[in-house]
Amino acid sequence: MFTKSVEEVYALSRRFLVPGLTYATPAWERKEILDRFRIGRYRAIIASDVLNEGVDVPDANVAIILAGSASQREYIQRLGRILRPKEDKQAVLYELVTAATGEEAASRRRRESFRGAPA
Amino acid sequence: MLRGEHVIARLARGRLVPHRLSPDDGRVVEVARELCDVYAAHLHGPRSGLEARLSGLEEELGPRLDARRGFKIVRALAKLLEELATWEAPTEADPYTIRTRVFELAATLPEPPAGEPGLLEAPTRDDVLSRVASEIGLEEVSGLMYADRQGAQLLGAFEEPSPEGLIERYNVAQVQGVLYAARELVVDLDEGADAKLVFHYVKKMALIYRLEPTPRGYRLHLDGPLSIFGGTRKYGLRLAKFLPGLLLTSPWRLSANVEWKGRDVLLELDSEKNDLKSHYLGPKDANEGDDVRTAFVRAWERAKDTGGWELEAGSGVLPFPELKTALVPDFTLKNTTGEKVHLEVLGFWSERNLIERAALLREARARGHRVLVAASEKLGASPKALSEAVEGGVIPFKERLAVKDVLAALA
Repeated sequence: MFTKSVEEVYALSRRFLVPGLTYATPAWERKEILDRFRIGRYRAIIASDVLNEGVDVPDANVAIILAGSASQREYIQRLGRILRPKEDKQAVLYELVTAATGEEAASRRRRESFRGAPA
Repeated sequence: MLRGEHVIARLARGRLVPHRLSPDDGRVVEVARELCDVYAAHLHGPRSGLEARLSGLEEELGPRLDARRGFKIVRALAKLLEELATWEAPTEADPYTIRTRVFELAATLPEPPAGEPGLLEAPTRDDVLSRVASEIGLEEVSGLMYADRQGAQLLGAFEEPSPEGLIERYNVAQVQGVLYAARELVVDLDEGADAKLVFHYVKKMALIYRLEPTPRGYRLHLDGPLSIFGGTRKYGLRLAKFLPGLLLTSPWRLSANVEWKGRDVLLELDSEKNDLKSHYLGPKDANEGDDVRTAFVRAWERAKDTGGWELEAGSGVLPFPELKTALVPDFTLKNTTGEKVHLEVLGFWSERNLIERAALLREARARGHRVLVAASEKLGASPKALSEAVEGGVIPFKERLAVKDVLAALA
């Protein structure tokens, strides 16, 4: 799960009892959480922006973006987390968008820019 | 001490004027008082709540001080109050252990498909939390999960200043902030100024200095952080921390070359023409210590054999009038035959500073003075300059200055 803010990570981590990762998470704890996620001991992770880059989670097949930004780069990076090549893999990306707020427009913009992006 | 983002100054005829708040202005005192009160009222409360309140006050109180920069001034005042605060962990329990246990248990909860019966009987979030609560013997498990975050810290103690005291700290801190970007500082210490006190702070802050005797006292040159290579942030902080030490005495005049918004400008201060007040208690303050020198004295006292040499504290300024310079050795070593050797421990050093010091040693020796200089391998950026200086008699050290190295140099 990707959130927009660090505070949301902690709030949702407490609410759903799912490990949260932020810039403030110590490196060793981050590694431990990701390792446990890879071997299936944890089934979900919630993060703000630390998972955007440089972290490979090949077995994730569902991503949920909670009100992301309109940034194309961020969108592709987040999508990339679940689109790691693996045989017979099918992945789903959900976007949670609050109707009648700026989130609608942000979601539209990131998907439009994505469509126009080079393959 | 302020961060760069809090520093406010303006240029007036090529001179840099750091921002100043007047302790005689009722509005200013009122704002300072309100901030002190908010902090004091928050005792034992969590940091996140205090920070939220303070950021609200930036909007509320800021415009009363200055329409445009008010929020920045309030933020700077809050930063100075933070230095008077002591934060405590909200719990003795280990939040990492608690949350990891929670996540592990929660991850094993079964997820029956919604279409199957028995969904309501499946274990839930509350079951996980209450199980962990009984395991660790503490309630409020979800609140403890991230109790190691900074925002969860509690304000354990607060040395509440008077509103005027806070304003005085602010005024000094703005000048200090400007010094983060200094190239060089020149202080003319006039007769009557306590030079020994000033050198105490030069040494304590490990600054790079050059001393010149003048008809009225001394001219002290201090390298600024922009003049040295690497470690500039740390050095800039040290240089800034020297200022309240200087403010403990007078009379003096200070001028500093400062880089301000890409321009080289001058900061000038005159001890007789400013109302800056130091919050330092003076060299006797028990909190002040110097690791390298204290450790050396201890090591010396423990040493079995010091070859007949005795270690004494430096006697102050050692002038070399022919060279138009002076040194402030940290120690004097004396042996039974009455021989006297001075020892100076350098703090930070620059290549130029080290070369000058090595040349001074040669000159001093030629004039019958024995001076030893020790330099830390860690506080300078040029190993080449250091090794050349070592050939010239400088004693290198890593963390601690070793007694045997000093004795070897004495032999």
